[in-house]
Amino acid sequence: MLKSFWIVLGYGCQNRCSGCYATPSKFKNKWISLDKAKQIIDIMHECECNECILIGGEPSIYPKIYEIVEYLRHKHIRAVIVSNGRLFSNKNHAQKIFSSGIERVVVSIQGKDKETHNFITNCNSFEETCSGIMNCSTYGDVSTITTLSDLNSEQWGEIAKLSRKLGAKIVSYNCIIPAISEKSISHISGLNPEKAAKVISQILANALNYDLQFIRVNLSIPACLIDRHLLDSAIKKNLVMMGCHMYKGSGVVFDSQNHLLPCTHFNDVLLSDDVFKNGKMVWKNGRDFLSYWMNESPKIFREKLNMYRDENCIDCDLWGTCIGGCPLFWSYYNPKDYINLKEAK
Amino acid sequence: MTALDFVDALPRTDLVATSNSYLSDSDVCDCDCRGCDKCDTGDSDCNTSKD
Repeated sequence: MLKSFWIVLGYGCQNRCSGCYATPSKFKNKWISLDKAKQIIDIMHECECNECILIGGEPSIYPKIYEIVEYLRHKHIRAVIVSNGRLFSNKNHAQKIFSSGIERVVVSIQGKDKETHNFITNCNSFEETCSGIMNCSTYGDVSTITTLSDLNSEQWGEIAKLSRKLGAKIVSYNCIIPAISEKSISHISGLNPEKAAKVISQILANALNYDLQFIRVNLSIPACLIDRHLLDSAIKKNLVMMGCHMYKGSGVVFDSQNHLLPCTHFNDVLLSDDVFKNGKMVWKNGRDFLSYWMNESPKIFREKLNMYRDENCIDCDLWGTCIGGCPLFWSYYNPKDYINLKEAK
Repeated sequence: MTALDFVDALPRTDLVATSNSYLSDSDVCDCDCRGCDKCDTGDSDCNTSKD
């Protein structure tokens, strides 16, 4: 059942991107200990997970990043890091992350130029990020990810050109998802599902017309907002990523603050705040964790999640993959205003 | 706030999706690996193989 796990190594980051899911954490510079990270990896290995996504905050500035990557390699778990790329502007770091065993570096690039990228990241980061992408492409696989927002969605084509020029193998896009915390739900600079559908439709249409096989779009909005012929063609060409690990229970997130989360976009909204007691993980082994995952609060969470968001979803043949779009959208928007909205097509 | 409280507050119908639908085979990548280019290529190392 479980395939992937995320470790939020800490919420510290050099950037302050608008709309970042980590904003409610105030980017606290509290890292997970190497010992705890290894315990998580051991348990996930016993659960037969075969992919770990290292994320933050900014995972590359975690003091023991190479040790973790090497440990994952030792356990034969694929390691992916999602980064702002800045540290990799130093070639030694770019080389070392790949020689430690990382399979892919995914770098977040938010604009076609320094004005846009720096504005969104709220700091002077563009040149280091570009240099980081280029250096990573020298030593291994690097992809880019752009979070589409009101501030950069018109630049998607130029961002793709820039990313490819810098050496990105894959150029991917997602949308800003509402940032969830106990105290607030925000969608700063976010595109509503209808606006997002228009941009995504443009990207897919161009990718198909010009045979841009390196494009990937993470379709977090309801699939019915995209013209069906366009969507089917894009799916056939492998341009679209859909679905959500939360529904199937195929992914789980551990953060640096003793929390178990359903998704990285949940901040202090928790499945458990009791992952470690006296420095030891509360589950003795993988079997113990799977028993919890399959039978306790995570199971109830999946059951509650697995309800149709709208009557229009009931007979939709795409429900299984679309699941009515990312559920976090519906903490901020009303599904009735968007699902099966013909005007967006 | 617990994740259960959060999901309880989401707008929804009262209809539980059938297990067949949400577990149905997908023609698309659902691995959340953010940029995997191996989907549908038959690469046995890719964990995006269909359920």
